[in-house]
Amino acid sequence: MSTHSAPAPTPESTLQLVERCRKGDLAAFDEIVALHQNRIYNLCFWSLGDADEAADATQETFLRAWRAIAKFRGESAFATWLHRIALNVTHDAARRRGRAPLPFSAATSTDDELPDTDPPDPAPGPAQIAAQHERRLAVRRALAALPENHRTVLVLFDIEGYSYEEAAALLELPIGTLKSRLNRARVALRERLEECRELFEEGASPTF
Amino acid sequence: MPISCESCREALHSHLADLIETKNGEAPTRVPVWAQTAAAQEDTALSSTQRSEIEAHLAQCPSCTRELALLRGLTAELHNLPSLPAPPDLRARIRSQLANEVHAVAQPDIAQEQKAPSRNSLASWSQSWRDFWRRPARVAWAGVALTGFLLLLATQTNVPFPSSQPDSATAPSLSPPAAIAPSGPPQNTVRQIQRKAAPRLDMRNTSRSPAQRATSPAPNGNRSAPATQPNSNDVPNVQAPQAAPAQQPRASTRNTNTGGQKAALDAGVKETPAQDTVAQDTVAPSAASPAVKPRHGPSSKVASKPAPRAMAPPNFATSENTLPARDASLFARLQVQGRAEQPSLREVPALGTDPESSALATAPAPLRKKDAAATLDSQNSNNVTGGASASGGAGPPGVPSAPDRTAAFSVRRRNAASADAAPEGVQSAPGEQAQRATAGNRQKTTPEAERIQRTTSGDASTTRSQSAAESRGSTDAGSVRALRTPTIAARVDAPNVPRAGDAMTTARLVVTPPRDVTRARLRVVGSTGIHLSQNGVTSQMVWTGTARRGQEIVVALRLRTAAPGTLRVILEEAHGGGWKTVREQILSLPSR
Repeated sequence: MSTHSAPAPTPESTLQLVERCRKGDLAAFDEIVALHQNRIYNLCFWSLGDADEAADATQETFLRAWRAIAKFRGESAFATWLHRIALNVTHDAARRRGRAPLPFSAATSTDDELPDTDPPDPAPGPAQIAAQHERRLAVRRALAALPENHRTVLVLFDIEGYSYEEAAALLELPIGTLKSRLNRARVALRERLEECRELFEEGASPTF
Repeated sequence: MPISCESCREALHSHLADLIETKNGEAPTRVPVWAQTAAAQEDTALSSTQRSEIEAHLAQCPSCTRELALLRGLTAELHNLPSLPAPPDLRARIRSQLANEVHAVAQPDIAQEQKAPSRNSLASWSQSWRDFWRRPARVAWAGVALTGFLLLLATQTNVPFPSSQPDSATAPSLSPPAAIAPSGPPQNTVRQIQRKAAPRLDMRNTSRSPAQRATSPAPNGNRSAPATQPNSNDVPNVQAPQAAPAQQPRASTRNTNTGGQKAALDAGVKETPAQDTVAQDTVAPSAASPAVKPRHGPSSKVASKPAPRAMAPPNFATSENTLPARDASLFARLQVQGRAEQPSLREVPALGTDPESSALATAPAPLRKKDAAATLDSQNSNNVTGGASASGGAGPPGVPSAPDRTAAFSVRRRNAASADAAPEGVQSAPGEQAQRATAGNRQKTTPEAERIQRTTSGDASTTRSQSAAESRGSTDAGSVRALRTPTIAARVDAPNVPRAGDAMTTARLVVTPPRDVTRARLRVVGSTGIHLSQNGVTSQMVWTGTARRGQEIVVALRLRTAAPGTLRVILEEAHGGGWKTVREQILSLPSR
């Protein structure tokens, strides 16, 4: 996930907004919501796999952030702090759901409605479009079937595009641990996609 | 030195991040970073020797090369997943929720005054009492204080502690000292003790003051809690457990709130006084905003009710909470249908009874262009429409495909008088025969349909459906079990016809839930022989998706049919904390 519809929040503007929020400025917090809601929503969506639950988790994340914004000391980036809250919220939601499988609305109902953010292919044929669609479906299902800790590192690093340092700070893990977990998660994802590996071999071949 | 494939795979899996990630942990770009070979090779935890060994092995091992390509392609697919926009109303929801919180914090006194005094005092007393017992140190101190109080009481009455025996029991215990020293004062002491002990023991039998007896009509009055003792925090007494059950309904009712609020509560987020004030505001007639989900709306009401029966349906009226009432009515309808309209729950030969109409993309194009409709009897006017279409696509070789081949079917459930009417548009005799046979077997299939209505899992219904279809003489038949809602439209598009033994093909289901269903879910279960590709799960797959009101559920499935089988499509709606089956449709997938 490389592109987001919301503009990338700059640290200066965010810190100023946070200062205003500490004084009870709701409009400032509304701007913070506008700046971060897409990334938080995506994080919740890919972690929970359900649009409704992701919306609720996003709302809960911002509510918790508002209640605790006085405790934000600025030792880390505000976005990191906010994402850590979101991770806690999604973790709570996943724990509450227990061992129930993730819903697959991520792979279906929303897929056709979303704009395809890929760069336009000069001449994407129907077969290519169908293959890409199939690959995404397979990836999302495999992602939903992963354990939560594996899914979280994949969501943070591969989907959300965090760096090692940022993801390690969010998960409070050493970078080496994060990398090894990331490797294991990818291998686990690949094992779950063994059934349709031809999709990825075909799809990936033009890029090699 | 060449390495083996196992060593290479192990190195690939262990150092995958080093092999394919960007330099210095930069955010991945849309262009696969491993295409930038030089950059990828610079930042690596692999030693140069290891890397050269791996590269040498990859140069001569196509299997390991494919493995690396697969891993890279998989990572690229993750990178290229589209960004999802947040729901448009999410910001407004957060804003209104925050405004409510800020308003509640700013005017806590006003909110307190708006509440009923008795309710306020009882709720706050219960909350403080519950908070008091949350700290173990306080419990310990309360135990110490209680012990001290009892000791003091025993000392004042000169009765050895503990002294719970009746008079007849205490007298013999005192007689030995009297026998040892049979003088006057000891005898008087014994009488004095007996005089003091007797009224005390009588009081223990009654255990309550007259005032307490007057306010508490319960026969076992030792558990009746006088709620008019707010100073009980100093000395805990037996009234404490009384407060806890009174709070139980409040906590349970909170769980009926929104998912985010449930998340806060379940996560153990301690409520601030501001939140409680919000709850009190919601109780007040002028405070609740219709655009905001209620946080703790019924809490104060429930807390004031003494019995757990007060947990029963939340009574606050918002868009979120109209569901229980509606579900209750639906459930009532369902019950009525189960008794009086059992014929409507019978099996409906819609998709498959007529080969022309329900072959589900199995028939050639000219056949599938024919529309077929079957008219069935029911006390409700039910419409179940569906369609099967086949369009060109990347199907298996040898499968005939043509663009925009569509066949629609329609099953209308009308009054009982039309049970034997000829189906509209159905031209084949087997379809009519099957339909009449089904109508004739209505009494036999009704209990079965009832059982299906009560359960949403298992292959039993699928097996029954298959056997029913076979009994109608159509192996390619699908069948529809219309359980309740008549307004569901299901359209099945099968771009590629799944055939036994073929490679994976795709099927597309489009289901439109009824408008009155706020949240729907679709489950697709493949029977034995239908392999739905999901992470290597072979025999069955359970697919779930959710849709809001009026939103279509679109399911794209990958199928691999090793034998003839069925797809069981189950549409469910949110009901309480779970899901309730609205409709179940069984689609038979043919074999060549």
